[in-house]
Amino acid sequence: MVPIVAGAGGIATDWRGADLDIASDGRILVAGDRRTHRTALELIGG
Amino acid sequence: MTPGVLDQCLKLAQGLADAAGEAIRPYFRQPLTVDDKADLTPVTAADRAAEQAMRSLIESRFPGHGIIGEEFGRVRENAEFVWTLDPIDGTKSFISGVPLFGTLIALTRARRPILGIIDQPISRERWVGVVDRPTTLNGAVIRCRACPALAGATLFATTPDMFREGDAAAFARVSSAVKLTRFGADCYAYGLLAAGFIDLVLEASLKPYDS
Repeated sequence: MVPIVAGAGGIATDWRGADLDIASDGRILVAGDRRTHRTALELIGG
Repeated sequence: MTPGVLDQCLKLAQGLADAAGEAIRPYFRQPLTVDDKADLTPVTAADRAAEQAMRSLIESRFPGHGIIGEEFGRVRENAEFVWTLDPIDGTKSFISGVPLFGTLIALTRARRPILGIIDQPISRERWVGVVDRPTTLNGAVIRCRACPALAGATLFATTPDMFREGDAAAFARVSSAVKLTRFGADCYAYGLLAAGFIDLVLEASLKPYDS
């Protein structure tokens, strides 16, 4: 899923904004626009 | 990595998606025996048939590659190249006759994702992502849409039930800030996001073979 999102200009990270890998904890945030990704991350962090 | 190796892997990945679709289609909207796995997620003969078909193709083409499969476990998981397979992501949709499930195929090199496919075998839609290349849907290049503010965003999540305690509060903060929240699309949501129809996907219990 990560290359599909990245290759379309989107971003996929965990809930702290870190890149996903095989050891990620299952909490993920995917966005098509980096601006909404950043705002959503701020809301997730409280 | 040389383009040759990547293209060989891509060719195999396309073959895996073809094989999984062939295995899955005969079972869709047919009476099925649904088993509950240890983690209480449903599994069907279609899941098993699709994963077996994909594993045997990988074993014959790249016997040194690792495989992590949702139904049949792990082999050579420390290899340089490791395939992660989820034959039917969205089994609950599948067993309900909803064509929003998908076959997920991913390839990691040194644990980083380099190739991914989401294949919907009923609508015959296939998203292909390859590192440093544009994503395609059935061969056509697609792009996410611009969404400058959360107030205009469409958010997807598989189910509200996955968000527990603190996660539920975090999800509620995001959900209350967006224009529209929808549930239930599993991996299909990533395809919709890559094609520019939705803006955010939030999940709390994604497994390694889904990434």
